[in-house]
Amino acid sequence: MTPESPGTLRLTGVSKTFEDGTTALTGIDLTVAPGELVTLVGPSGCGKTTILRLAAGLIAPSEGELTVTADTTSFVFQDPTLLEWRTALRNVELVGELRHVPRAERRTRALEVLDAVGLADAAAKHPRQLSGGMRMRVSIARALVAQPDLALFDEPFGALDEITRLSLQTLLQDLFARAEFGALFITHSVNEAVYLSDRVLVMGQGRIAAEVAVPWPHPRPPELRYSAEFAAVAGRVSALLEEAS
Amino acid sequence: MTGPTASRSLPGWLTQATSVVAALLGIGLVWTFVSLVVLTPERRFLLPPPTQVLGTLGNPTIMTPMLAALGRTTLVALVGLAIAVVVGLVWAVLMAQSRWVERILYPYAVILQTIPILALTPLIGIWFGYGIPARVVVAVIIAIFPLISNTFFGLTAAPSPASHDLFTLARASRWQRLVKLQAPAAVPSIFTGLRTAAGLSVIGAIVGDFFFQQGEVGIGGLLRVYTLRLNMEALLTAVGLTALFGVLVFSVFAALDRFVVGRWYGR
Repeated sequence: MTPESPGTLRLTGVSKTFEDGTTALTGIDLTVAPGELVTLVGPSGCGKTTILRLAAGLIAPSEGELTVTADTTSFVFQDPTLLEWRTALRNVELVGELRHVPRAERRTRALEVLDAVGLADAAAKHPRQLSGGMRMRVSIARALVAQPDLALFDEPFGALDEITRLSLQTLLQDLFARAEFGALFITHSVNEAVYLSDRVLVMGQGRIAAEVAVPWPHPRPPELRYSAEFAAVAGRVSALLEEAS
Repeated sequence: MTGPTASRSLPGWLTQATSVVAALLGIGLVWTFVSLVVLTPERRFLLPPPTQVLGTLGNPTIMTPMLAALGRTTLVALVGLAIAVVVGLVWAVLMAQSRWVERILYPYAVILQTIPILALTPLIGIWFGYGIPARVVVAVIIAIFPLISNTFFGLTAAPSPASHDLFTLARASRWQRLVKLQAPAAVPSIFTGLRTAAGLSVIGAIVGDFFFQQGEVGIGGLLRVYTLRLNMEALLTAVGLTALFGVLVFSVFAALDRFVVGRWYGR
């Protein structure tokens, strides 16, 4: 077996059956290469989050082979999952704190990342003082501060309003273009999947039913979302999604 | 232009104070009516009018021993509460560590809560004597359950599964998870337990005064003496003072709760 570069995720023939007998995934083959952003789209309950939890090591596969070649894996949850008793800055510092990174080093890095997500002025605020979009930016900052090789996103923008969602998509685009990490991103939104990713994997009933390559390099301008070419790719994904469901 | 509602409404504390004063006036009126109109002069000693009861506040022969006794009861309640806090928190933290520790310890917490204190007083008397230590033990027994149950609930149920996943992904140790996630998440629940336990510790101290009268007398002991002597003015004053004391202890912990947790949750 050849050694993989950091930031590689590979699932080969992976199936997952839970203790109650529910089969969530069957024969999943999936690869995320370093520096590649892959999106999973599919209806609720098709197994997207299970793939993410497998990749994070939170659960183990029932069958098949799972390889994660990454020194650091970060996870962005559907809910920002901020600790209410910590300020934005201390939430971003949390992972460094748990890994015993020296205080000065983790603070400098946390401030840099907060600046990168546009929240330099909100560092001292508690989560309750932040809007939904700002909370999600803190959550993204917390994931990126660890300088991950692999980042996993579990439908992070699902609960946000459309304007905030679009601005966060643009932000994530920019961050992804600057940082070299592999990413697996879950979403229900076809437009979000096409705008963000290099490849869109269409899921249905525990299987990957189709794959669509997205041709544009990163970073992508926000206006791309309103072009005819974009609509054509999104239309193709939507049609495949309908077939898979 | 500012909103008319904002400019006309009273501050929250003033509204609350007004309702408290209104309620007290209402009670005073009903009390006066019962005392002066309903009761015959021969039976008026059962409920003397409020003016007569308030008159005892200026009587040093009654008030000096009453305040000294209240001071002793306060000390017993505070020591009992402090012990209940330490033991209750440690108990809850141990139970939160594993299911089998919970299975071992939880029944004893329930037993402490459900056994009537009357059934335990002979044992407490034999083991701890009939003075102040026994009163403290009663205060601890009565106050401890809300601390155990609320802290345990906070430690186990307050952090979301996703927060636990976050700590698992960062390979946090059990200690880090307890100190940086479970304990801070449990603080609002702990304060709920503290507020209840604070009130209960006062009740426990007074109950202890009733049963264990060796040594210097507490307010519960005086209540008993006043009852035996049918000294209704002093009895009602003592009841009023203990009620005020209970409310004060509850309010202190409620204010502490708002100060600590309010910053996080905007209460």
